[in-house]
Amino acid sequence: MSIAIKLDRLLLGRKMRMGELARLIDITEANLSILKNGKARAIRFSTLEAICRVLDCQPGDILAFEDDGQRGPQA
Amino acid sequence: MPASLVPIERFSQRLYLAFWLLLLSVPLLFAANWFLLASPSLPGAMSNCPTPQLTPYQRVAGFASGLPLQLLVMAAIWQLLRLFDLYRKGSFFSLRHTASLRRLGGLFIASVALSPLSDALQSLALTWRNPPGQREISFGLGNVEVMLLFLGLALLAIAHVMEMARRHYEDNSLTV
Repeated sequence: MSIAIKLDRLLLGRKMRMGELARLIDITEANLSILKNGKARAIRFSTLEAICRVLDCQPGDILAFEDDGQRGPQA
Repeated sequence: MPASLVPIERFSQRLYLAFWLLLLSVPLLFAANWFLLASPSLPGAMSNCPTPQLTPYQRVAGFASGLPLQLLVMAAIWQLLRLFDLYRKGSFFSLRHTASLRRLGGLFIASVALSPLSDALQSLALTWRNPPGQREISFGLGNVEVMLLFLGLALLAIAHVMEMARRHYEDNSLTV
């Protein structure tokens, strides 16, 4: 997966636990864990918006593109 | 497990037990037909022939030559068992489901190919020790085989659709 999730660093910087973030953005901790561990296939704009609002950050602070040399699906 | 799935779980549990019973009964009934009945029911094209008193050799030959088809039937029941085992555990979309459905379809189609061969082998085995001129080999395809072929193809198509549904379900469950 060439999209990296930088939620760990953001949570560390804000001294916030996963459970607390999950409660504040109203999703289950299991789902947040899927996102944090990079297992998610997609993220809803509403989830992204809620995380940005709670952590006071931009989407680019959460997601980063890391080229792993693999070609994605062609249009 | 959600309450709405409980009836499916119960129904699947019953079918699971029924298929176990069937799986155990098939080899027993098959063996009983050849070794215990005075006039065993003969397969395929020979089923309408009057059944003479069979010699021990004919009974063993009939049993052995019909065994491959019976094993195929048991393999199909085994796939149904695996499928309903997943349903009774509340699992509805997984690779194992689609694999079971695909195998079941393949087994149905294989049975269509094997059935005439099995009939031919059985008729030959049963009449092998007859005097020359009275030996017989018979095979044929009937409505049941055509039905099984369509059923097998339908199961393969359903397995394909289920695989796409599974991927969609996986995408949904991994969307945060």
